[in-house]
Amino acid sequence: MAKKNASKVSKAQSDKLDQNLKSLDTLPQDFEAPHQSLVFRAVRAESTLAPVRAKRAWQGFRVRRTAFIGAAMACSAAAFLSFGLTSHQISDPATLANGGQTTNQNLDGASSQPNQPSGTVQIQPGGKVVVKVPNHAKSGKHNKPSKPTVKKNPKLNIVMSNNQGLGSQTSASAPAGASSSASIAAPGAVADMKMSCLGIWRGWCGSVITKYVASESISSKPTTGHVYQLVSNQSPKELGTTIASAFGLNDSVHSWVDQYSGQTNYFVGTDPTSTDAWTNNSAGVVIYQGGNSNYWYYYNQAAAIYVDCVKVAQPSDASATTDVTVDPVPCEYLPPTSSKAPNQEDAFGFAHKIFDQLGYQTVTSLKHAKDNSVLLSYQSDVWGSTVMANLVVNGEPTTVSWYIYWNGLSGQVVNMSGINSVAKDAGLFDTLSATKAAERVGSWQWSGAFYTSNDFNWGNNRPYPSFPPLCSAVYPTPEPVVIDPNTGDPATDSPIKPEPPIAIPDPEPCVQEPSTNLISMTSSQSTLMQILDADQNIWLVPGYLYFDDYGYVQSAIALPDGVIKLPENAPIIVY
Amino acid sequence: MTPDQFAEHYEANLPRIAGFVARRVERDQVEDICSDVFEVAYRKRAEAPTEPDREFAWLCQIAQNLINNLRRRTVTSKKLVVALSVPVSSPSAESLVVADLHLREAWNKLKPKQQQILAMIAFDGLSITEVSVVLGITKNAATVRLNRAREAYAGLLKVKV
Repeated sequence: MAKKNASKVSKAQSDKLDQNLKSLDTLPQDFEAPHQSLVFRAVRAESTLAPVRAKRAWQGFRVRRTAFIGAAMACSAAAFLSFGLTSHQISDPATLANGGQTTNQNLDGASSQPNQPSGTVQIQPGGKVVVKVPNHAKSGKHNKPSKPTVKKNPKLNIVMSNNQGLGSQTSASAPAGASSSASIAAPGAVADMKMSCLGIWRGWCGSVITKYVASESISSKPTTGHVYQLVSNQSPKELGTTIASAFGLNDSVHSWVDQYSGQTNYFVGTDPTSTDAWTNNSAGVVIYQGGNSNYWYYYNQAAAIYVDCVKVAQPSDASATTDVTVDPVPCEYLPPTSSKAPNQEDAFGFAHKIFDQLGYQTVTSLKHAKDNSVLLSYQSDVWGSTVMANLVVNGEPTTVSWYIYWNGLSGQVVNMSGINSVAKDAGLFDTLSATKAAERVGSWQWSGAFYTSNDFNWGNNRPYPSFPPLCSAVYPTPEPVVIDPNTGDPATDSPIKPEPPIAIPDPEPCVQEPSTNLISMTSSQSTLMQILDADQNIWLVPGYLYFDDYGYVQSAIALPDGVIKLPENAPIIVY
Repeated sequence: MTPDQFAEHYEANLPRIAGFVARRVERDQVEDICSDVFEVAYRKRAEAPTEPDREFAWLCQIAQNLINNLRRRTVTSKKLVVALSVPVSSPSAESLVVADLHLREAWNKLKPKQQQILAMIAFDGLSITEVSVVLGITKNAATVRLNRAREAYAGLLKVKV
C-alpha cells in the first residue's frame, strides 16, 4: 500500500479541512433547483420517446430538446402545467392595470389582423381598449397604422401559466420551471429568499439574498414593441404527411390518445407507444399538439451509429487502491477519426429542401431575412453535424427553432425536430423602460427565453463576490467504525482491526441571518422573448437582456402589468 | 412502476441532484443534465437500488456519467485549451470562483480523483456509503481514498497534522 508524505488526518482536522473546502463550493448562492415537474417531464419524455434518443452534439441542443419536451408536456399534462390557473385568472380582475377595471388586451383580435393595428394599446376606465399611433410608427419604422381602433369587452388572452418550460430555458438566472410558486406580489429579494430556503439549501436558508440593480447607464425611457403569437400553418395530419414524404417514410398518419392528457397526437412509422419503439431500427415522425402549434420530431434509429466504449487501462490511483479493492476498469468513447456527415453546403442544401416543403424560406444571413424566414447555422465535429434553424421575426432570430442532426458514422439524418408555426403580429404595445423592467429581474415569472448565437457575448467574466463561510454545520460525533477489509462492511468479530475510517455524518441544519449580494447590471439590450401562456400558446414579446460584470445575463419581459397576467396567490411548492 | 409513480418517488431527489450537477457543468446545462438523469433512471429503473440510502447515490452515478460524456464531447468539439485542462471526472470548481487563493491553489494541485471525492463529501454532502456507490467502489476503498485525499489536501495547505 502506497504511503503518502502527509500523515494521518484526525477527525477534528478533517472537519476543519471540510469547512475550508466549503468556501470553495462553486454553487451560486442564488442557485435554484429546477422545478420538480422536470422529473415528471423527463420520465414522460423517456416513456413515450424512448426510441428517439440520440447523441447530442452541441450545446444548442438545450433549446431544441427542452422545446420538444415542453411540447410533450403541453400535450400530455395541461392540468399539471397550469395548476388550475386558467379559470380563476380570467375571471379575476385584481391585477388589472386600470384601477380594477377589466383591462386585459385582446390580442387574439389583433392577431387575426396581423399587420393592422400598429398602434399603442391603452386601457381606459370602463374596459375600453384604445389603440393609438406612436410617433415613431408614423415615421415609418413600423407598419403604417390605420385609424385607432376601439375594442369592446376585451378578454384576457395571454395568461402565463406556472410552467415556463419554454419561457426560461436560456435565462441564465432562472432555469425553466425553477420555481412555479413565487407570488407576483413579491418579486425580487423576498421571493428569492423564499425559494432558496425551499431549495436544496434547506439548512442554509436565507444566507444570501441576491438583488439586481440597474446601473445609471441603462435607459429609463419607455418604448414600444410588437407582440407576436405563433400560429400553426398546417394541420397535424398535413404536417405528418409532409414530413413523411420529405424523409421517404412510406406510411400514413396515425393518431393516438395520450393517456394522461386525453390529447390526440399523431405519428408516422413506428408507434411511439409500442414496444417496437424501443428497437434500434425504428423510424418515424411524432407530432404533438400544443396550443396553436404542432411540435414534431423525426427519428431514424438505424442511422444512429455509436462507437463502443473501449476499455482503457489506466495507471492505478495509488492513493485509492488497496489490497482489498480494485477499481473497475474504465472505458472511454474514443472519437471517430472522421465524419461522414455533410459539410455546411450540403447540410444547408438539405435543410433548404425540407423547409421549402414545410413552407419556410431559409436564409443564412439576417441581411435580407423576412419575417417567418428561417435562419440556418451549422456546426460539426467528428461525431456528426447539426443544422440549427431559428425563426426570424422582426429582423431577429428567435428561440423558435428546429434542428437537424446527422450521425458522423452513418452520415445520415438521425433526427430532426421543430414546430410548424409562424409568427403573427398581434400589434404594437407600450413597453416598460429598461430601468423599470429591471425591477423584475430575479423573479422567474418575468423571465423569457432569448436567442443566443454561438458567438453571443455574455459579457465579462469577473469572479462573483465571495462571502464568508456560512454558519457552521454541526457534525454529530460519529461512532468509531471498524471496516472489515475483506468485505468492505462494518466488522463484527473480525480479528482484523484496521484503523477506523472517518465517518461523515450529515450535518445538522443551521440558521443564519441573510446577507445581501448586490449585482449591478451594467447594460441592457432589447430583444424578443418567448413565453408560453396558460393555453400552451407561444408568444414572442418585447423584453430586455441585462448584462452584469460576471458573465451572467438576466432577462425580463418588458410588457407592462395587465397585458400579461401572471398567476396570483399561487401556492408555494415545497420540494 | 408507472411513469407517474416513478416521478413521484424520485422527485424529492431533484434539488440535491441539481446541486450536484450545477457544481460540475455550466449553469445553463443543469436542467438538461438533470432531465437526462431522470430519463436514464427511468430507463434503467429495473437496476435501481432498493435501499433508500443508495437511491440518491445511484442518481449521482448516472449524473456523473452524463457529465463525463458531456465533457468529453465538449473537449472534442471545442478543442480549447481551457476545456482540455478540465479533468473529466472531477468537478469544475477549480475553474470557477473562489475567494481564498491559497485554498484554490491547493485545490488545483490535487489529483482529479482527489478533487472528485472531496467535492462529493464537502460540497455535495454525500455520505461515504453514497460516495462508494457513485464511484462504484467499496465503502472501505472510498474511505481510504477520502482519507488520502484529505491528507494530500492538508499537506498542500501545509497544515500541521
